[in-house]
Amino acid sequence: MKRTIPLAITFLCGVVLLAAHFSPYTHRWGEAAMIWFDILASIAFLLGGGNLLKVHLKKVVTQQAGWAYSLITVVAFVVTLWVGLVKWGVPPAAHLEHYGESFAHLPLEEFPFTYSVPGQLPEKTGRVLLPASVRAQLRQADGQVVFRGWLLPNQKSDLLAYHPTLAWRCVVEQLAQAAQPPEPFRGKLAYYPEPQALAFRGSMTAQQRAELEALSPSAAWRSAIVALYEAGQRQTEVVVPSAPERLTPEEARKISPALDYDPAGRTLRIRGPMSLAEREALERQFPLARPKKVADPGGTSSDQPRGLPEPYCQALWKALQERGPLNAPQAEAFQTHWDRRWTVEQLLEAIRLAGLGEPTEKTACQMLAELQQGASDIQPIGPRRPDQTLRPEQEAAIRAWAASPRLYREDLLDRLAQASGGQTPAFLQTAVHNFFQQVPTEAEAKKTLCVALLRAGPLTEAQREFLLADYRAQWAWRTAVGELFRQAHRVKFPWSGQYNAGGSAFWWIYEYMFKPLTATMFALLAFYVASAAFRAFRAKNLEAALLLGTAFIVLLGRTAAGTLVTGWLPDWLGWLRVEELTVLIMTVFNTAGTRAIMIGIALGTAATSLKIILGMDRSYLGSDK
Amino acid sequence: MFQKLQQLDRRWVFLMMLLAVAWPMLADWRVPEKPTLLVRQTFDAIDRLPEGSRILLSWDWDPSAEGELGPMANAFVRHCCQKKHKMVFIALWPVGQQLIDDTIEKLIQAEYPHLVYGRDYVNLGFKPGNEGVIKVMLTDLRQLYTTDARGTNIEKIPVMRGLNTVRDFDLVVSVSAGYPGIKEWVQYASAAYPNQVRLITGTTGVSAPLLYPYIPDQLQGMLGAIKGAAEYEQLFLEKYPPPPGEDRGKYQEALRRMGPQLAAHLLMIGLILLGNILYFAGRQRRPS
Repeated sequence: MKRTIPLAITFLCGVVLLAAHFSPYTHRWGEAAMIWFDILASIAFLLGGGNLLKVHLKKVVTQQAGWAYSLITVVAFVVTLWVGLVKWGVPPAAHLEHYGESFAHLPLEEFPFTYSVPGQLPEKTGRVLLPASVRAQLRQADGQVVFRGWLLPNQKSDLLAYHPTLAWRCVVEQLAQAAQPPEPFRGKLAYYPEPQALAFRGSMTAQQRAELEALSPSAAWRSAIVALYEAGQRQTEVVVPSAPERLTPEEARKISPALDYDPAGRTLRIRGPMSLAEREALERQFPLARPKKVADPGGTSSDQPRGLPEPYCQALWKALQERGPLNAPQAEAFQTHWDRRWTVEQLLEAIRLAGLGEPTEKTACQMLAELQQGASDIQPIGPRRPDQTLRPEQEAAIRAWAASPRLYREDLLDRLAQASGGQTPAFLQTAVHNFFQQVPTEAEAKKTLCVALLRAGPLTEAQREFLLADYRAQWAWRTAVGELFRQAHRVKFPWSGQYNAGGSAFWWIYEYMFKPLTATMFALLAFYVASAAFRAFRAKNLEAALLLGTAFIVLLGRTAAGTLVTGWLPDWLGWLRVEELTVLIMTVFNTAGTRAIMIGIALGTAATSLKIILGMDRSYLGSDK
Repeated sequence: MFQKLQQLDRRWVFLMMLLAVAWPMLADWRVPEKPTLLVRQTFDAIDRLPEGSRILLSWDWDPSAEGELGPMANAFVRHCCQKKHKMVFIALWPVGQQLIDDTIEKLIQAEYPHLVYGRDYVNLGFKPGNEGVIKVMLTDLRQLYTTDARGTNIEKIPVMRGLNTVRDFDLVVSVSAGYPGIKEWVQYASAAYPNQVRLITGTTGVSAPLLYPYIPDQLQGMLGAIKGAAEYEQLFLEKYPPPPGEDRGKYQEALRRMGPQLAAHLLMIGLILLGNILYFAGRQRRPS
């Protein structure tokens, strides 16, 4: 029996894999066999790990020859396994952390609101279940589709993808409209079914708390609201270095009412968690890189940048020259840097493109209504939205802003709002936001310039200080803001990060031990091959002499030496060039030999496999027969 | 003298090899490269695809082969970025995932910041199973890769739209250092679907001779060792010269390594010749 069962498994797997290879109808069988192979391989891995520990620990305990190497192996194995399994130093996955939100536990069955729309859950054949993201919340009752909770965007898209019919998609759209938090709390309140958590964005006020508590008498609901309110009142404070000149207490409150900046005490404080948008707005308090004009006048002299007539470019160049000498390649590097700066025309073009009207997409309910009215050719695309263009006063506001001494994105949006009569159009806001995501700050631009100039020649201490001082201040400020963001955040899923995330212990082992060690092992080959070639590669007989000649040709052909040595040969003798001979050896002699070996291996494999499948060869079971 | 050479301490050989490799590196010695037909075919396999083609890049290697395969992996990716192809990365080797992360962080994000993760490229990461992974991907890759390496549902990744099997890709590129690697791709993918799976590879010097029998039917192109990578870089630089003022060094990783390779090969030939001279001279001296 001990041998019969493995023999039967071998026979069955062999027949399945053979059938799967030759018959397309049995492909799935082969895949199932492969999956089982993986499962068994993972068990074998566990056994292998245990065996490795057993063998090497025994060697260490009995102090056999080479026991120190065994100790290193055991330590390396255990440490790598441990840091990988416990995810030491791994930050939580950013997309799961819901930055800016506080969580409070609220079991799904205690969630007090259910929403229903008329409709039927689609009938699915086979084993296709409802999407996992909504399975616990969605049910059918009395001709209604009932949903407990507030439908999240990912749940909506999962439901839309669940069944392609217009009727179902219309039900989902109606449900998505109905199953939402009450109006004043839309975008602030959410319910996540998987961790069973009620979430609130930002810091909850006492009035908001009272309004939310009044929504339901449920004790669990009220206790969750209290927990969210308390989480939103938690104060976090950091001491900041010299703050950017633009930031004032009023400006900080404009970013978020929960933010409090004290210039005298150099403290930045926040109530509740900080969102990514708030962090980004705080970090953006440094002026943007200045633009260049579109058409640069011609150069003034060979060792001076052509952009010099522009006042800011001139001032920058002059400031650098006052602090030390600059050579001609550095002048060229300065010009290249200047040429890459953004222009007002690029911004205007980006705005123009953002204003182009796009076709609207019809909802499923709209298309269903068309169908019910008898339409036969239903198009999912609706009429195109009208184009929006930049008005002359808005363009003038942009040009005036670009000429101001310090450029901030918020200032531009304020000027555009004034030029637009109070409210900046959405397309303008989007275009400005997207455009300046790509534009560095002036401090970053000067740091880039510093690197470019250092590549082209030396810089004095004063020049480096001039180019890097702003960046240093910006870096210190952003570090302080990052620290406030980190302290204000409460980790929700501490083990959600990837085991090999940058900066983690596993990453360090990989980057600074595994990589250099394996590369070193491979590189050592060069030394041993050289030594072996000197001592053992002898033309002792004809076969060895042929091998030696072939090796010379291939060694030369794999470098530029081949071209240098025989490149002078005329075309009619071109086949004698070393690189051509190398190709000939590889494609003719090598290929013929390799094919012969491969055919032999294939025949041998087929014969051995058949013997194993049919039970004629049982050596793998430990039998000699 | 003869005796001394015959009993030459191997540490002198090691020292000579060290100098042969170190000197060209320190002196930044460059040698010209003339691309061969096979490398041109490999280059054309990517270059002739229309813009936006979908390419599967399988990173089947580990850091021990970085010296040979790193430059060609970078050259392939740079070429794909330049041609605006959509890239899907996978790894058949466990540490291949870290190598993909390196490629994305140090090359794509640094040199092509306008390319967006998920829209222009995606990292599906490592899956165990060796050739089993290839087999499953041939019929339904979504069965195996339900998420990308970051945990995002594959259905929500725009670049994966319409990609259900390996046959849906316009080209498969395997950078391969051994098993599982290009041989398995040939045996299970291009041999099984000869007209539907197009395959090119970059491989180590020791693997290259074993792959020649597959060219050009099952394997449409191959870069063999650092020499192949250097020729590829040469072609890339000829067709897509970097903008003036930009550092060309990053495009010449393999070309820079050809100087040390030439010096090392010449030393090897010299050592073999010297060894044989000593051998034959020793035979003549020996009393019959």
